[in-house]
Amino acid sequence: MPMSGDTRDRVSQFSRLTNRWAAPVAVLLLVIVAWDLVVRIGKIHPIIFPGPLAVAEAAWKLRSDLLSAVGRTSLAAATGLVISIIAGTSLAFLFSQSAMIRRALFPYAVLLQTVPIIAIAPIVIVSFGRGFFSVALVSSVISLFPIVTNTTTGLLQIDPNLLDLFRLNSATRWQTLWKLRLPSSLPFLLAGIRIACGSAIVGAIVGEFFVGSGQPGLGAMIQRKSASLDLADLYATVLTSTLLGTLAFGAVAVLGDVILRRWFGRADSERSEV
Amino acid sequence: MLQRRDLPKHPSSTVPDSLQTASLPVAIDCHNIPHDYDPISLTTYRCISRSGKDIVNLIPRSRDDTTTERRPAFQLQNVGVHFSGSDHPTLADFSMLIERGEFVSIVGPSGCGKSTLLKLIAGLIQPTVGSLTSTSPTRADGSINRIGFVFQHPTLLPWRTAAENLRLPMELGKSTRSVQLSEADCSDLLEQVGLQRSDVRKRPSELSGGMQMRLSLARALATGPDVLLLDEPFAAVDDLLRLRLQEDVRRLHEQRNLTTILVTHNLHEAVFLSDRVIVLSPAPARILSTVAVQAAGPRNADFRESQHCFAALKSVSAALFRQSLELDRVRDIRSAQSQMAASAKEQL
Repeated sequence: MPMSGDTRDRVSQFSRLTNRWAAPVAVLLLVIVAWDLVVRIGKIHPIIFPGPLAVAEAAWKLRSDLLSAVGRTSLAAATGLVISIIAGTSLAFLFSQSAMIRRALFPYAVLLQTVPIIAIAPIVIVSFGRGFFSVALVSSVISLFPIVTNTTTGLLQIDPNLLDLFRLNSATRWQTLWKLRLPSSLPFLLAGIRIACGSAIVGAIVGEFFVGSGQPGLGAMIQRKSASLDLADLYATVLTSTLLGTLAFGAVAVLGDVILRRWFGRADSERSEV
Repeated sequence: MLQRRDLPKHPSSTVPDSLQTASLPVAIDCHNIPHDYDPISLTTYRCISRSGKDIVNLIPRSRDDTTTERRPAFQLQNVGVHFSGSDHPTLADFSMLIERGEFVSIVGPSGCGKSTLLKLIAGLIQPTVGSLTSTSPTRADGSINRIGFVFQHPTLLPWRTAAENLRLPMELGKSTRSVQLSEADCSDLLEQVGLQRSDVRKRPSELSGGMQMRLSLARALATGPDVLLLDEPFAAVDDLLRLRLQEDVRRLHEQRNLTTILVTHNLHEAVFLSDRVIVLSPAPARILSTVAVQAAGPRNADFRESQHCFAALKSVSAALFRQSLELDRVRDIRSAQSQMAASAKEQL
């Protein structure tokens, strides 16, 4: 019986996968075809609006530059994300410990979200120099907020009955945090990281944009290509950045699912799917 | 010889005319029990039907029954609980006594303070006024929790296996617990509550709702408590499963010599399980009626069909029927009060 159940599961998983991907892939193909038609029929000069083939060609020509830029940007974004995770969970710990602290500091956490990252980047660069660390810092500033809010929510949103159970057994504050609040908040933290990883890449690119040649990455490349009006190259770089963001989001989502599955057993992991 | 006492009537227990016409037995109860009351007399009742014929379906416990074992476990004296931010007290001037080894059910309308009462006994809430005395002795090492609490939902930690969930109560608290549960101990516990020994390594998500409830019960028993508090533990499980869980709970109560207090909405459940059913009034709760349940033999399917069971159920229903009238009365009083307040404001 488990065999047949497994097979059925696999089949349904496959059909779910095709259902999930067929429509977006079709849209992508349609957009590319439409793009190509617009360029061909309208006879638009490639300097103004390059067609998909020209962009693909440029991407192939630039492949080694693009790859190394993707590597640098990813590293900066990952560093930024790790900084946000560490700083964000620490802040969330602090917030979860007292309503007073939460009230006092939360408006400033919101400030992180509302301040324009374009404005933050030059300030960070002036303070920390034109280097890798500045880029990572810009990336962490933009990705900190979702981690702080999500983790704080997770630490505070505990089943009141479970809290009663811990109180009944005279659990200390530390035990409640370590054995109840922290593990309960794991799905929230993972959701926060999923949101933050896209922002972290945007932050890294914006940082590189301002740092310029000091920190070669996708941002610096975009800046250079737009300055020299190599539109096909620019399009290729921008599309690569988008692809990187999408892949990072997907990777973090899958990783989060795997972690939750291991942590909660099978049934609960369904909940985390968005 | 059985001894019967007539207890003073509470004003609200005056039988209304509407009820007189219904040929329901009316339990005359004991309200606002004086401080120096005798716990044994708590189960003293008289039931009268409209025809005036006594229906003694509740046999008062005679003094001869008094053995050394019959000692109070919890005594609430004029307890009041008023949560900050609420207009009305949840409990006011409430007195109750629970004997050791007793199985007591508390029934009453939603929001009357049943769960508050249970939390009060568990020590999760402190009374605003009044006192709660617990005469149950603490264990020698003093570190182990005497009270097992089963919540309405399983309330398990989903990332822990069954065994790890059972060990949780031992891991908490300031002093490290001297008693540790081995895997064999955990399996034994699971077996006692009707789970498989092999379930010990399963996560809650691999267990059905009823099995999770059983695991929750096992966790409450893991510390070897003297007192078991059950807050509507079977409300979320299906009927058939509920019957089986009830029998298991009663068996555990007897085997482990527990003092058990159950809060429930289910009258059959209350009567089937309990030695005594306490019917509460709408908030702030008062004891409307206390019904003693007599059982000749063990609590099994035969008992469910027995005369004793029906008799007790009838009395509890009657008390609840009166309570619904009381609900109307309270509503009338409240609306009159608010009208008075409104007119007073107008005059100002």
